[in-house]
Amino acid sequence: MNTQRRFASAFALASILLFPAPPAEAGFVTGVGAQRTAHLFDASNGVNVTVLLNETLQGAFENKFIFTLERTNTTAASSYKVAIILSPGDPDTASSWSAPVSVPAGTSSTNVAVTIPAETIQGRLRNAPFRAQLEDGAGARVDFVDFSVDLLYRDPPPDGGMLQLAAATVFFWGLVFLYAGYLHLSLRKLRQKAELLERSSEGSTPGGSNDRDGR
Amino acid sequence: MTNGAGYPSPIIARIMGLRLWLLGAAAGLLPLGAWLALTWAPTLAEGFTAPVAQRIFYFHFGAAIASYAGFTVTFVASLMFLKGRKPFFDTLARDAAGVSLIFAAMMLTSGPIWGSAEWGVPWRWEDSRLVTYLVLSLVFVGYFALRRSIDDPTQRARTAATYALVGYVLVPMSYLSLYLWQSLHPRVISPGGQGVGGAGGIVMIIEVFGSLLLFAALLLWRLEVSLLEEKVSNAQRMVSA
Repeated sequence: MNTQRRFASAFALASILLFPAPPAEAGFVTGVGAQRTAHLFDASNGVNVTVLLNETLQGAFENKFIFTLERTNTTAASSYKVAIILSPGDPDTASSWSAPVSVPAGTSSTNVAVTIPAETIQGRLRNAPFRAQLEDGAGARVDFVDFSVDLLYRDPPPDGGMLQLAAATVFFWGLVFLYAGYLHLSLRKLRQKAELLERSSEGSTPGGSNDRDGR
Repeated sequence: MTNGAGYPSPIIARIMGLRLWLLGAAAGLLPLGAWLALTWAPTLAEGFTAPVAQRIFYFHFGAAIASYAGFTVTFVASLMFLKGRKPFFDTLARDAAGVSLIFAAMMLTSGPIWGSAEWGVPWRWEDSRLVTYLVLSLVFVGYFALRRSIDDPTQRARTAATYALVGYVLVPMSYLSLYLWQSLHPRVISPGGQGVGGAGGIVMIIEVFGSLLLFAALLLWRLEVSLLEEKVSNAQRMVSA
């Protein structure tokens, strides 16, 4: 009996630890595939927030998250902050980007963008912990949802860019030689023409027509 | 600067005689710089995924300085033309713009080639330096289109000079774009950049001097062509008269 009671207590404790009861209106993610929708709430003020989350972030480019704050008729004017956090809970690697937003009273919706600038996320990581968060005006967390994303960064060229260096060098010198060749040929033609004209002014026939007018 | 017929004065003619010397010096410096960039300049591995392609920077930067210098020559010559109405300055402005566009073409090919190695894409429209420099180049392509569209030489020279003065605004704008707007363009030697080190700095100076000498040589060569064109044109007129 004692063993049964102890087993029941342990099971109850494990259940609480493993499957804690979600707080009312806690954030969640819906959708399948490469793009999901995160839902966040401030139930006390009747504000529902949605944001589209890509499953893959390209570090070399700008990543923009548009948060939509939908208000109900019970919503009072208030200030919030919406945030995107990479590696939350790890003080060494956590990074966050946020934007403040003020919502007026009454129904309607407000959009606010949080942008991770290009070249900010460098490195490649699968299933990096990721959080979308709603905070109140004072910075206290109101709601959040955890997610995971794949961080991608460009593939480095296998030769370090030797091919591109060679191509750029060829273009550079190619342009120099083409232009120099054009100038050399123009000068030679003009000298021939000048010589002909000199001879014609001494009594011979003038050579060629002039189509150059300084344009 | 010119006599009545628009030919250069003996001083200018003597300066133009320097063309071969300048060309020779550039032909020595630029390959030397390229060789040192490959073998001596440090590899900037930090912040670059394509450290070998990063060495494009040395002649890319030289071409940039030469093109800015060339557009500045166009600006000053246009100003001089509007002030004194001497045709030589119109010719100088036009030829400097033409040679500058050659260097701009070097920039606009070497940059995207580097971008394809470093960024994975050759061009990024969100980069203010790339976009302002492209617009600057297109404005000076437009300068030649404008010249072709006007028949009267006096009006053509006056309009082109005014256009060049206005278009030149894009030169400082392009240079400062790195600080004024969002830019992904690497800051190598600009404030906040990682620098290229002592050896890299010497290679950079060699490439800049080489590019400027090459610019000067090509400009003098182009001027020689232009002035001979004018001479031939005048001689033809005299013969037909």
